[in-house]
Amino acid sequence: MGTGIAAGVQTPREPRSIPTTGMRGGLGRTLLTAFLLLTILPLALIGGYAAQNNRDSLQKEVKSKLQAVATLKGEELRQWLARNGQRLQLSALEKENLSEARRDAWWAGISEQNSDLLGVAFVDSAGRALWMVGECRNIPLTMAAPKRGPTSSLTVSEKAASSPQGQFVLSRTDSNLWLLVEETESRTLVFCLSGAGMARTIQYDVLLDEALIGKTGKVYLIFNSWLWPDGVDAVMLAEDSAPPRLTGDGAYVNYLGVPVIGAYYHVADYDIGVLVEQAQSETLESTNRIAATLIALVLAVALATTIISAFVIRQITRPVIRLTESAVAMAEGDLAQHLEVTSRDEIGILTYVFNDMAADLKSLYEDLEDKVAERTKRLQQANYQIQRRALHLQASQDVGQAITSVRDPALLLNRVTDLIRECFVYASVAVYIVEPGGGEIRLRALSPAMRSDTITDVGDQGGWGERVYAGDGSIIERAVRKRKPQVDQHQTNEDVEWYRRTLSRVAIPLRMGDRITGVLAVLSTEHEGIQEDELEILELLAGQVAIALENARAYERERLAAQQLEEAEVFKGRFLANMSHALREPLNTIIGFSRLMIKGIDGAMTPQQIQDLERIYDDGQRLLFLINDILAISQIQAGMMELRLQEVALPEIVAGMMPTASALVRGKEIDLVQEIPEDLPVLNADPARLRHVLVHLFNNAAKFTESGQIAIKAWCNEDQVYVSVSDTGVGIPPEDFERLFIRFEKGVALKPMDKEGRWQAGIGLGLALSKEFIEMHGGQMWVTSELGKGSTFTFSLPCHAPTSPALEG
Amino acid sequence: MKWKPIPPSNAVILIVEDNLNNFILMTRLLAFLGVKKCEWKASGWKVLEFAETLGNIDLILMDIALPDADGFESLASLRSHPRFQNVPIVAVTADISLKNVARAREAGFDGFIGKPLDPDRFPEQVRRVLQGEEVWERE
Repeated sequence: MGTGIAAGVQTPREPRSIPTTGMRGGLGRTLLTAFLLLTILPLALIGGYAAQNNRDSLQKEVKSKLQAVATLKGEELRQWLARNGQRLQLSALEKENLSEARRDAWWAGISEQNSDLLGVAFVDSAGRALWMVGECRNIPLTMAAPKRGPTSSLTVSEKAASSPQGQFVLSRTDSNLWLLVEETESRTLVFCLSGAGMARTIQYDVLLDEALIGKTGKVYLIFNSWLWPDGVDAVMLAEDSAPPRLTGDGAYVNYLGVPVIGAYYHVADYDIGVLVEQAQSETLESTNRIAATLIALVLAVALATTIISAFVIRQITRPVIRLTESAVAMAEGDLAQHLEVTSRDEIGILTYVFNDMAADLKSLYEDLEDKVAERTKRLQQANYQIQRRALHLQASQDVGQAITSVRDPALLLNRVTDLIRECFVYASVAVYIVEPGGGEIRLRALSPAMRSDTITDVGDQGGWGERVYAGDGSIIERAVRKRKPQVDQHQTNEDVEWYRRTLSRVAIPLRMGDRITGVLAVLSTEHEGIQEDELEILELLAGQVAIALENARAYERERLAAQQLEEAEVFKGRFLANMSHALREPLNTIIGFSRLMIKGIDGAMTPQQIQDLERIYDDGQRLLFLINDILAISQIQAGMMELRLQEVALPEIVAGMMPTASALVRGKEIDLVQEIPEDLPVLNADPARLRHVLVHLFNNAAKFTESGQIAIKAWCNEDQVYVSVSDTGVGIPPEDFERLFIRFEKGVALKPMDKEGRWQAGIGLGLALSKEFIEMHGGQMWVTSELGKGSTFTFSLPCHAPTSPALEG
Repeated sequence: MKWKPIPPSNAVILIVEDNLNNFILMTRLLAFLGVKKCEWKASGWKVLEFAETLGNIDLILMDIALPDADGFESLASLRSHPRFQNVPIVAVTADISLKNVARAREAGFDGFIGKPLDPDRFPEQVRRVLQGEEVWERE
C-alpha cells in the first residue's frame, strides 16, 4: 500500500538549466522515493496489521456474543417446547379411550386453546389408528415414525426409554406439518401441528429480542433443513449449508446473499436449532472506520513527507546544480567561477572547495597561458633561426649550383652576387678581383647592377668603388692585406629611432690556396647588423666563390686551348689537302715528261740519258705516293675518307699484286713465297685500299731485306681472315713497335736508312695509313719481329661486312 | 653509245687547261696516239668566247680547277651552247676523291681521268673515249 502511494506521488522536477549535457537529475527522485518508503511503508504495515487484528478480535467478540444469544434462545426454545408439550400431554392424558362425542368436545376445547394444532391421533403399537381428530386423518401415521429422525438417530423406543415420563418428540413431515409424538409401549400419541404457525408462535414467544443483537441482528428457527426467516414462509436450506456451517470466525454469506456473522445453537432434545446472525457491516463498522482513518493518516503522512523531502531535496540539489552549472561553464572555458557559500554543511564545504579549485585552475591556466606565450615566442625565435639557416643553406646550394652550371666567370660572379643579395636581403653585394701584380683591386660584379653611366658618385654603388689600390685603407684593401674578414658597423644618426639603421660592411677575402684572389663585399642595412652565424655562412660562400672563380678561369683557359687546338687541327688538315693538291700539279709535268722521254716519244736517247730520266721518274712516282698518303691521312683525319666496299676474293688481289712485288725485289736474292688457300671466304672490302696495304707491306719488306725470302700467307678462322707478310730482313727492335704505326704528323716517324744512307721516304706514313685502313675495315694490324732475323706484319679482316656506318659507302 | 666513234687520226680534241705544261704533255701523248689536231683554251669562258672560230670538235678534255669558272660551271655553259651539246667532255683533274668523281658523273661529264697523268695509260684512255666508251678512273 505504501509503495503504491509513493509511486503515485509525482517527483518534483528540478529546473533544467544544463543545456550542454543530456543528463537528468535523478537524485531528487531517489531521495523522495527513499523518504516515502521509509515513512509510509512501516506506517502502512503497522496500520494494516492493527486493523486486521482489530477486525479479528471484533469478529470473535461478536461471534461469542451471538453464540451466547443463540444459546440463550435455544434454551428458551427448549423450555417453551417442553412447556407446550407437557401442556398438550396433560390435556391428552387419559383421553385415549374417550367416546367419539367427547372426543369432539375435547378437540374443540383443545384446538381453541392451541390455534396451531391441526389434529390429534392415537396409534397403537401395530401402527393402527385408534382414533384421530382434526385434520390428522389425512396423515399417514405409519410414515411418521420412519420420518422422524433424519436428524436424530434415536428410535421411538429409545426416546421413551431415555424419558420415562413419556416425553414428546418433535417430528417433521414437511414445512407445514409438524408432528409432536409421545410414544408409550401401548400406543403412540401424535399431535399434528401447523409448521408455519408453530414457527410464528415460537418467533414471537421466544426468539424476538432485538435488544440483544443490534440493528441487523436476526434470530432464525431452523428445523429439519428448513429455516423460518420471519415465521411465515420456510426456506429450504441448501443441502451443504443446513444448518449453516459456522467456521472459526463465524462469518459467512446468508441465504439472502448478505455477508453476516452468525452463531447456531442446536436444541438436541427436539432436534431443532436456533441461528443468530448479524450483518458484517454492522459488526465491523468500527473496524472499517479505523481502517479509513488509517488510510487517511497514511496519505497525510505521504503528502507531508513529499513536501518536506521536496524541500530538503531542493536544499541539497540546488547548490549541486549550481556547482554543476559552474563546472560546465568552466569546461566551456569560463574559468572565472565563484559561488556563494550559502550553508555550512557538506554542500557548503564542497562549494568552498570548488571555489578554491576554480581559483587554482584559473591561476594555473593563466600561468599556463603565460608559459605558452613564452614558449611560443621562443619557438618563433628558433623557427626564425631555422628559416634563416635554411635560407643560408639554400643560398649556399644555389651558389654551388651556379658554380657547377655557369662557365663564364663574369656571368658566374653576377649570378652569385644576385643570389647572395636575394637570399640574405642585403643592400648590395659586390665581388672584387685582385689584378695581376696585386697593386690594384677592381670591382668585377655588383648586385644590384648599376650602369656605369648612371653612377654619379661612390654612394650610388652602395659605396663600392670601381677600383681599390693597395694601401688605401679601404675595407676591401684591408681584407686583402690582413687576409681575414673585415666588418665595419655603425649606426646611422637619425633622430627618429625608426629610421635608425645599422650600416654593416663586410669584406671577405676570396682565398685560393695561399693566394687572395679577390674579395666578397656585402652591405647590410638590417636593424640588427651582421650576425656571427651569417658571417660564417658568408665565409663559406666566399670559399665557394673563390673555387668557382678558379674553376671558371681554368675552364676558360682549357676551352681556349682546346679551341685553338681544334682550329689548328682543321687548318692543318685543310693545309695538307691543299698542299698535296698543289704538289701534284708540278708532279704531273715531272712524271709525264720524264716518262714521255723514256718512251722515246721525243726522239732517241742514250742509255745514260734514259737511266737518269728513270731516276727522275722513279722519285717522281715516290713523291706522288707520299703525297697521296698525306692526302689520305688528312682525309681520314677530316673524316672524309670513304671505303668502296665490295665482295673481294683475296687470292685475286694477291695475284694482281705479285708483278709489282716482283718488281720491288728485282736485283735482290729474295724468294717470294705465297701461301694463299683458294677456299678463303669472300671479303667485304675496298680492293684499292687492300691492295694499297699489301703493296706497302711488300715495299717495306723489300726495303729491309737484302736476301732470303718474303712470304705472304693467309688463313682464316670462323669470323676472321688473317694475312701476314714476313721477311728475313734486319728486324725491328721491340721498343720501336709502338712507334711504327704512329702517324707521320706526330713528328715521331721512323727515318729508316737504306744501306746507302738514303732516307726511305714514305715508310712511316705508309704503315700508319695501312693500319688506319685495316681498322676502318673493322680489322687489326700488328707486328712481331726479331732483330737480325726478320719481321712479320699481320692483319686481320672480318669475314662479314663491317657494320659501322662510318665505314660504309 | 652517246657519240659517234672516230679514229684518233681524224679527231680534233679541245683541251681546256690553265697549265701550259700540262697542255703540252697531253698534246705530246695524244700525238703519240695519232691525234693530229689539238685546240687549247685556258678556261671555259675562253671556249665560249671563241666558239665560233673553233672548227669541229670531237672531244673536250677539261680541267676542273680552272680560273674564272670551275669545270662544273664551264660544263654547264658548254652544254647550253648548241655547238657543244653533243660533244663528249671528259674531266681531267688532280682531285681524284670519290666525292669529286661522283660529282662529275652527276654534273654530266662523259669521263674522268686523274692527274698526274699516267703517260703509259693516258693515250689508251683517250683512244677508248674516241671509240665511244665512257672512261672513269678508279673503276
